[in-house]
Amino acid sequence: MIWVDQTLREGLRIGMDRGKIDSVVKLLQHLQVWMIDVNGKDWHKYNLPSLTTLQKKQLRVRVNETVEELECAYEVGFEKFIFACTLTPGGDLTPPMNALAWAAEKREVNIGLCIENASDFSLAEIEGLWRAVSTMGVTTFIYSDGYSRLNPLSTFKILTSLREKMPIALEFHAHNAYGLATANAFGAMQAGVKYIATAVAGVGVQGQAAMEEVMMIQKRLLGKKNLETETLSYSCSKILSSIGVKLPATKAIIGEDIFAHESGIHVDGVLKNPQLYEIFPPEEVGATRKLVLGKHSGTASIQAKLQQRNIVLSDVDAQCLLKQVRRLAVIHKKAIEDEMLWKMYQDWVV
Amino acid sequence: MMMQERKIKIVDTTLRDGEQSPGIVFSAQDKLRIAMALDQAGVDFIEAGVPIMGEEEQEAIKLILAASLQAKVIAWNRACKEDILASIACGCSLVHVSVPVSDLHIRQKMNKSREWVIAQLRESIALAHSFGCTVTVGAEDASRADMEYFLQVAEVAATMGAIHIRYADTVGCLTPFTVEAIFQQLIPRCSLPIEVHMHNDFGLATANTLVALDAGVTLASTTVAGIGERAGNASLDEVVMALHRLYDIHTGVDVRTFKTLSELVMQASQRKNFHYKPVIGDLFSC
Repeated sequence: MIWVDQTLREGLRIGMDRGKIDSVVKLLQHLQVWMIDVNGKDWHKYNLPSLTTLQKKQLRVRVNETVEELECAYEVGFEKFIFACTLTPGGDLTPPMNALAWAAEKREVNIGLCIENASDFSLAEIEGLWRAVSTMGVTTFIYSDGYSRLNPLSTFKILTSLREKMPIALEFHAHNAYGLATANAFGAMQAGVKYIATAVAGVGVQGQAAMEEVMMIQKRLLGKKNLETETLSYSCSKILSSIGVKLPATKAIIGEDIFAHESGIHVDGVLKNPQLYEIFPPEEVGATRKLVLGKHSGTASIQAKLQQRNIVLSDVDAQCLLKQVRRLAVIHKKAIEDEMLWKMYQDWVV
Repeated sequence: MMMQERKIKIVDTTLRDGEQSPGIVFSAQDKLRIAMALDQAGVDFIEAGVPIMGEEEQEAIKLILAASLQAKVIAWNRACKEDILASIACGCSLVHVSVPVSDLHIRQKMNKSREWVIAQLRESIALAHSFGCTVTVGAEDASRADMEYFLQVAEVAATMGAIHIRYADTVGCLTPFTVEAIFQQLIPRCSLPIEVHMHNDFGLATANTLVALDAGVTLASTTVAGIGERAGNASLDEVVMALHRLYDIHTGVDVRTFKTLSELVMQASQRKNFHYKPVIGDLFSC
């Protein structure tokens, strides 16, 4: 599977610190992400000097189909290009021929054609469009669901059919207006598509498939058990902070609270066997489990917390303390810290 | 997509599974305000809380019941006497009775047998009925359970007079493809209407819910902004918006209420909405 990063592109759009670009590229490399998209216009906005060797190798530039923009990107050293175009449904489906002709002359460059609103067209229309450009040196065809029209099953059907008919590298860009981007990317993966666009936490203007989710889906649900994911939480949160986005604590896979358990039934279960309420262990993504005390706690949490201080509490006593913990959580409208429990216990023993 | 005339019922559990997200505490007044907003949005059922948890929770549930909402108010219970009596003491007339159905949960968490679970379920439903309550049944960890056992539990629940059964993907391990295969088999064989309750551990909760509904399931469990245990539940906002716009399947829910509803829930949760959250995030306006 080749993941095509869209996180840096969003970072540049929202004005990330230019000094952090290379560290994001390196963090992505560490996660085995070797292709990183940026928008030509945003890149130029930063007035950066020519591309470094690292950047030349990893970055791919998105331009709209004007030749000026292309030349501009070519001059600073980009070697991989995407022509991104939105076509008019019902109109004449003309791909960006000028740009393609320009690119065809520069044979050393790598060219992808992205139809931003591909899901607005029938399969026959997409195939017709492909035939029109197949002689122009396009190396990758990018099917983008720009307006989030697809669901996972329709994505699977469309891409299965396109793969049969188009002998070219096929790439899929999911979007997230309805929260389906990850599932749609998964549909494309199931259809055998090898190039999948993703962004950490799904960040992006129309939303993207979340990188950490598709990676763990590949590992856990599609059986690629040997994928190394022990640094996933760390790398993803570092990438997000580098571009200036705060990660929500409950973000699937990488949020800092997704292995925090509070409710009585869950804590009791996790203490007996974590698999009861965790589909993978926290260590697998480099996270740690937490037991949180609050309104929903049960006696098992109280007993487990005091056990850490070598105190064995009977069920009846734990029940007594639990009532106080719950009441306090409601009054303060938040979880109870371990120190607070300890203080409550000491007051209560006296 | 085929035009479908059927209507999906939404069972919102923001006030139960949503509040179970670690660190979230709703006051009784928060719960009342959120319940009223959910009612105004047009959800069919509001799972209001767990009465056995204590006085604060009971006070909240009583307030919600006193508000005479259009939506039906559900109290959540384990399959045991003290839970159900606490619900009845609050004045609840619709109770949800949850039982674990995977062998993993039955053996490792409860240290019991499948037969024991069914006996508990029977007793609990009978107890609730003796007070004139209507019962819905929940099958915890159904996605890791033997499908035949889930069907057996549904059969018992149906015979005892429960009105629907919740199929819970407790650890969020299903995919759109497994969901389609499971519900194509389950729906024709299940004695009760099914409610799907999906968790978001791999980011697939919304998609899994939609695929199940498309396959013929008639009830969906959701929370506002997807709050819930660990990575959360299927989002009310995403599920309803996608049903209306992508599947042409209707719910009685008014999507124009989502912005204020999610602001209310975020404020009561003392959390901030993620800028990139579909439907209700700043980047996506409904």
